[in-house]
Amino acid sequence: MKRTGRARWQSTMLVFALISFFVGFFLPGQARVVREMKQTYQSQDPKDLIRVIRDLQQRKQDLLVEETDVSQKVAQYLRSSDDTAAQVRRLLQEAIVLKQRTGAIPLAGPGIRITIREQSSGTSPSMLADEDLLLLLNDLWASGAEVISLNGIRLTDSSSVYRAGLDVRVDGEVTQMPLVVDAIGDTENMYKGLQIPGGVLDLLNLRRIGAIVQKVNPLRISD
Amino acid sequence: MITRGRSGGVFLGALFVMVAGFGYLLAVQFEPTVNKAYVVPAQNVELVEIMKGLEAENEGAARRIVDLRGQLGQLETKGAATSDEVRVLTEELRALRGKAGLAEATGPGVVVTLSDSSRTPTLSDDPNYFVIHDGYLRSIVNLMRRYGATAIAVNDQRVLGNSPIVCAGPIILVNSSRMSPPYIITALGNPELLADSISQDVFFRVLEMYRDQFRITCSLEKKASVTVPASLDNAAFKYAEGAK
Repeated sequence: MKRTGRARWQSTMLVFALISFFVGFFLPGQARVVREMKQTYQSQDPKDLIRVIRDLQQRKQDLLVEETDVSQKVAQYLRSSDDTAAQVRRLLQEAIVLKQRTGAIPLAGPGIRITIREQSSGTSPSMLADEDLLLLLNDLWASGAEVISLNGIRLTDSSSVYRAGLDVRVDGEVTQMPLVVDAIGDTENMYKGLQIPGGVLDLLNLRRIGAIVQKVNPLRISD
Repeated sequence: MITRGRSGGVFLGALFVMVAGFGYLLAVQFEPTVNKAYVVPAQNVELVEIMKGLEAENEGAARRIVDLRGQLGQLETKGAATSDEVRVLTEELRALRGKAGLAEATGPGVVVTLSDSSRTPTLSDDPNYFVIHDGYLRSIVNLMRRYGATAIAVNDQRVLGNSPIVCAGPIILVNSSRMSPPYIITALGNPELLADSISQDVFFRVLEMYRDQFRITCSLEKKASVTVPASLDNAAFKYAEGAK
């Protein structure tokens, strides 16, 4: 009787040890499977994947424009390798394009103007945060802006934008609210991009920061 | 017998609690897999295939652009030897291309590395703290510019002033290209100034707090030499024209 009880006890312990071992063995493997699933993108929301595909298609178009442009320049060079005047013309033409890009030449074109006002009165004044401003600029770039200025200060590749107390600092220059954001580019796309429900304008509105969007043509941005 | 019965009861109780605990843990572990397995829409397989196909095409185009720019550079070097005017203009053009981010740049700088947490959030955790968001990358890039960075890249993508950094659900896109973690943000500039200023900024300190609490990766290193790739974008504007 005593021996039978001990044998049963031992077999229970053995089963318990085996269960514990297998559970311990499989848990890390399961965690790894879950992590890997997240990385495969098979489990993503289809809307997100469609958005990625659209961006990749846009990227394909952009790369094609550059590939065509550079291959044409190579062909021109090969055709006119002895023609100094033709080379000078091509170099000057590209220099103008690059000066426009780097902010050395004033630009004009169709665009939108966003006027942003904080509510400075009342018991809880609203304030535009760095992240709001970065999100607004990012949304404009993503929806087709080519050149942007903040209160007339043109943004370049090295421009940083941040709040310093009540001031807004752009590239070390100090400016104040209200902030006028001018963006030259694909007007319709920028306008639509800003109106997306849950987008940056909704976010500003919820935080009682006023933003008025106007289409302006032509819009001028100085160097 | 009484002792055996009491200790046996305690043991069975403990066994029940442990098995139930394991069962709960297993259920928690399996839940995401099972749910995801059920909600994986059939078209996702096709969408992922399209996505990968486009990425392969874009990589091919990127390689061709780099090759073509190399050829153009060689032709320009040859052309520069033909006359002083062409030589001066070629040098000016190369400087402008560098300024516009159309040339690879190498020099001292810093590298900030961000990556999602290695820890799986429990049911009581807010999963938002365990992943790197597009806003984090925008803020780090903005900080780097603020402290004098002259060229910046996220992974293999050059980040210019007009480079959008956006997200589509959990996927971050830079220059419309999908990024995979870790997100390595490289900046050329004074390593001492950049590292000291970034590490003291409130935003970076918050990220370090997330690192300690939620185990995301967040590191900042000074480097004697870093290389930032050239932008593959075309420099010409479609809408903006020179104004008088």
